[in-house]
Amino acid sequence: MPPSPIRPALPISSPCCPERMAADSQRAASGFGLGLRPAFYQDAAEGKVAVDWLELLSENFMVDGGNALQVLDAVASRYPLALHGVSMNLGGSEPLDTAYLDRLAALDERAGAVRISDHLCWTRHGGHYLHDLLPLPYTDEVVEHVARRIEVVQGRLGRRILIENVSSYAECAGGTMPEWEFLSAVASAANCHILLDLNNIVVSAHNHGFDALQYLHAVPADRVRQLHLAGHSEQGPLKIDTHDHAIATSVWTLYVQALRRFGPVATMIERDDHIPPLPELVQELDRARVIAQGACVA
Amino acid sequence: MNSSALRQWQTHFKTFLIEGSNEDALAAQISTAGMADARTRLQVYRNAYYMRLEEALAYYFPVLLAVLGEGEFGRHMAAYIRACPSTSPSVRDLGDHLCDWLERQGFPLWADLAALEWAALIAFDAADAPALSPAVLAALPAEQWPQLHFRCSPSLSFPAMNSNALSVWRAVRAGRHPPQLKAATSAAIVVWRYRGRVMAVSIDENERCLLDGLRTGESLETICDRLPCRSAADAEQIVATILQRAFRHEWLVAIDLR
Repeated sequence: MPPSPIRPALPISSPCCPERMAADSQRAASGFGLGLRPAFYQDAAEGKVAVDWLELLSENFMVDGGNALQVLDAVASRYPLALHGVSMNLGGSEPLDTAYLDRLAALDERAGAVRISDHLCWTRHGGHYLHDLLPLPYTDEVVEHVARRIEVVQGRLGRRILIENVSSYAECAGGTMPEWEFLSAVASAANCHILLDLNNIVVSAHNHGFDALQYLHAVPADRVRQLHLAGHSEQGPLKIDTHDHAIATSVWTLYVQALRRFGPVATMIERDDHIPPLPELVQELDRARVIAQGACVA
Repeated sequence: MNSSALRQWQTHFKTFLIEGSNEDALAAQISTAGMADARTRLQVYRNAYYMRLEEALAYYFPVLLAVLGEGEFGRHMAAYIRACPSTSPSVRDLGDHLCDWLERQGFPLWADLAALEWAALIAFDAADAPALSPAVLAALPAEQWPQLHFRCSPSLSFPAMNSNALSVWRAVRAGRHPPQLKAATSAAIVVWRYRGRVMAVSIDENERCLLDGLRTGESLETICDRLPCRSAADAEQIVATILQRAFRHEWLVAIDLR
């Protein structure tokens, strides 16, 4: 079913007072969040999730009405929200989906998002969405291609977006640079921000045999606006980005290094499968708070 | 790599994901540095593609899954995913063609269930619209009523059933053991969202005729003229009864005075 424009029938959350907006902005810029999942929609709608901000999967809220938009309005009145998408298709070779961008802009208006992000990958080809984050060849031409598309998106949304590094299991042999150079070059050419997923760095470093720290130290610190933490699995010789485990030790170790390099950056945990009870996730997030306090003091 | 080469890379990759037919050619384009060969790496993507989409269909069609069982559901959904790749940025829309596809494959009973579950999903996310109060109608002079046009809830739909799919759907949703899915006399049902919950009930031919007329913008008078009943007096009585039910279930959201 092709998307149609959002026709909000529920009242949109009242505009915040300036003091509240400034406080929210500060919480969202360096605080700690969770990816909002249906398992705790209700708790979040009632303000019972002890986090500074929440990240929503954009596509889950691109609907005309019903429960999703009620949840959206409720959480938007209680938390700063970041919108995180999986279908922007920034690396695609066919035109951007303007209907998708229109819906994202409408969602942004309704949610009052503090950040909008999507992935440095391709997801659509030949008119078909593949619902996966697929690898791009790392070349100068592709840097330019993707950067021009990000500029179009930023023009449509009227703001800078964040691009996220993805986990990968295969790399195109025609690439001429390592992934970290590709990410940095795209962000620079498009003048956009970066959402650095530390679990994805650990997964890809293992799968492709590079040094995760080298990656971390090559990323332009002034562009990193958010960090993702997550768990992964192992399948034969490869690590797989499954988001179904607690955060691995190797990711926590990289997080310490990231905080030393980037300073206090908005950090959140992604959990998409085998989701534990909410207190357990919040406890894991508290570990990130403690690590951040220690690292930033040091 | 220019834009033409990028397009070619993506064409090859997509063909591999969906068809799996060009593995050797694509593997030749994959870097072999590291601890796994190109085929092992590519299979991660192909397996994930089918697993992810099958899981999505299982999530959105739980009653069909319960009736078919995991094995048979997985086999048929894999074939569907291959035949009807997604055209929407939201994976929620993946099942848009499932009913028609099952019908074409010769599974009309499963198609009925898929149509019902798809209607339920559409109702769940349909635009919000406050229900029409019967007081609005009561406040209008009775002589205007035949010319009134009503607007139905955006969540309302009428999938046609040729089976007992509704009984099966209700049983599975209630956590009961469902009756065997079997063919039945053709019947209409109405699916809609009532105060946040998706509901489905059987409707008779008069109700289907009236609701369908209202949805397509016909006046009450026009609808009365073609109701399958014996007299105008019968038709008026039937319409009055159905409207009471429509108000009770919040199927109506507005009156248009034209």
